[in-house]
Amino acid sequence: MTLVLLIALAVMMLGAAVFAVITRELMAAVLASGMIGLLASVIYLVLAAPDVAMTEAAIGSGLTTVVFLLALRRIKQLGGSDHD
Amino acid sequence: MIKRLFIVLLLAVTVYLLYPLAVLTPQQTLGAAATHVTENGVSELGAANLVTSVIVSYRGLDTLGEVTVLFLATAGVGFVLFRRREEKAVKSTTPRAASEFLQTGALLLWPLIVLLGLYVILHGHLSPGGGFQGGVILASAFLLVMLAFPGAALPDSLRHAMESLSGLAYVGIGLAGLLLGDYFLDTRILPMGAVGQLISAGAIPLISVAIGLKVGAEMVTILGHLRKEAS
Repeated sequence: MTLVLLIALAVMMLGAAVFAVITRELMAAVLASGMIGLLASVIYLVLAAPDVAMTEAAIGSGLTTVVFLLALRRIKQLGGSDHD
Repeated sequence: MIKRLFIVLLLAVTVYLLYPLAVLTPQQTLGAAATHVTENGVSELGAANLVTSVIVSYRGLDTLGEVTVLFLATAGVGFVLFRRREEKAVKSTTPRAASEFLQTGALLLWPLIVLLGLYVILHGHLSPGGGFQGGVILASAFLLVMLAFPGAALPDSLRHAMESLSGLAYVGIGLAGLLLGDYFLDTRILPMGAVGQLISAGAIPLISVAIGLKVGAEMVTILGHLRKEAS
């Protein structure tokens, strides 16, 4: 049961990662990379490492995403477009 | 042609690196250090959460190093982004206000997230969590407010004072361990108390508080610099 859950989470992570690479929308790519962190933290939780899961959820999916979003806003101001 | 070659080479290296995962049998017995920690950790340090006693005490010097790395990163971000401020001051525009949903939601959630962060910090020696995790949760609470209210900012002096004082407290507790206890960052300088109580485990909760405040202040500083750069 746990193994099935882990494999499902890992497949979702891979899907989010591939989506982040191939999508043309930068905003969607940033959100997808945040989702990778969130799914990773769920995996840590299932694998009985709640301490790591907490850090991963806060840093990997929270703060990193915000740093990317701030960078995205800066790029837009400099005249770049939302698309690649 | 050379690009293809590199791709094939990279794939081969990846396969080579991942191959052990397929054939490796997991180690069935704990190593010497792990055995010592799992058998004697609770009785030696009095912390119910073994992860925290490893992070704060058994390898406390590493944690001090990690906090130092984070401090250097903060200093680096501040150094790199500081020089641009004068150029930008000319064309500073008032940032667009966030939507009412975000503002109301942020004001509603902010105190709850701060409470969770403080809980995680203070109960680091009892339940999952600790200084680093709680500090990041605290920072995310302030981050939410920063997103909802673009003009709002913690006073620089408060952040800097919190950051420096907590760093000083961390090193001070470490030195106290050297003087009163047996080694640098000895957490047994304070009464151990009963395992599972909030006030127990010697100096571990104090170190957690110092780490939490320092990490929180540093994260808020980094994000504040980046936000200033982006607005």
